[in-house]
Amino acid sequence: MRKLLIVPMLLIPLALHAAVTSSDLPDAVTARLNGTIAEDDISIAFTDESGITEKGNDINLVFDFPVDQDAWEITHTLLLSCSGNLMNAKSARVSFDVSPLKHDDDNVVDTSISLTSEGDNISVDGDSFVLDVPAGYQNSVNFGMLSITVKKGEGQKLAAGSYNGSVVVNMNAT
Amino acid sequence: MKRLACLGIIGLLSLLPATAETVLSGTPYLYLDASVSGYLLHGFLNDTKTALRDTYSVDDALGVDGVDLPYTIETNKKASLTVYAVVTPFVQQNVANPSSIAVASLQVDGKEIYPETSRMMTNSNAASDEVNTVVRRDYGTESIYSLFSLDTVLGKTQYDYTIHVTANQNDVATAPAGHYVSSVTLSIETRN
Repeated sequence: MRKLLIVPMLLIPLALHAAVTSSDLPDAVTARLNGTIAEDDISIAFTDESGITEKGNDINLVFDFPVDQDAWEITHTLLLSCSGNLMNAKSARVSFDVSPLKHDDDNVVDTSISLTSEGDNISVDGDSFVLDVPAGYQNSVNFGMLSITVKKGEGQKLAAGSYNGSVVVNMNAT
Repeated sequence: MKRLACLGIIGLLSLLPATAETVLSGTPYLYLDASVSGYLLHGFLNDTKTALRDTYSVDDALGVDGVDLPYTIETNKKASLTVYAVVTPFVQQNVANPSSIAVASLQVDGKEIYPETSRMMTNSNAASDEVNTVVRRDYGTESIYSLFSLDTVLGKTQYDYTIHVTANQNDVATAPAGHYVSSVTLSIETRN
């Protein structure tokens, strides 16, 4: 009788020791990992002739007027690049408002700009660049050159003193 | 005939006290039957660590610190198991030509695990009577990782692991803006 009793007692541990077979295996479980990369709107950077790049800051150009010439022309050129990370492509117009170098209303230096486009999907429309900026990450993509030229005509008289002017950059993206 | 029947009844009646006395003088046995079902479960622990879920979702998974997945196996069986993961890159959602961000690192309890290029595994497409057919599966954009092997022991029913996944930060820095999703699918195989 004791032998008979031992048999069922052994069954429970044996059941626990039963090998796990393929049919015992549970279904796969899945984790979903989500992440978002935020949109970064277009920004413009300028690189001057000495290779210094300014992004979002004012840049200062110094024009040294020759004292030993009656007529002269000086040009500084800036390389323009854009960065951004757009969800959807945009068309951007970059325009420039030029205030000529002047000492006072009677002493103004002729100041002009010229634009040269670089790369595909860039065009020049008057005093504006027109860019087609694709969706996705863009890091310092060159799109054009801005040349600022000041000149003094022969016989023009300029008063001594400091001259100041500006080029304001506007961007309208749609 | 009637006399024989009466003798038989008297004979049986005379035996009854003797029989009852024999049983009561012995050891009484109560036979109790029970069984414990074997189970083998796995999944992700919920926030209160009280239940296993077969799906899990985590946000902000592209950060430099990565994310943790709280993975648990529960069983009362003795078994030799291997857990593997099929991991997809982070794929940009809802765009015609999605970009992807690679998984840079996968760790289990702090130990770096490196992906395999292919694996011999049970053919999930086989008919039920061929379930043990083993086929070679090659992975394209997915990666497969043998995460760890486990020999379960009696007396312990819960085995907890932390799976840590980190996205490739170079890819993150240059990926187009948008929503990205990666999936980590965990399966268990028996080990011979």
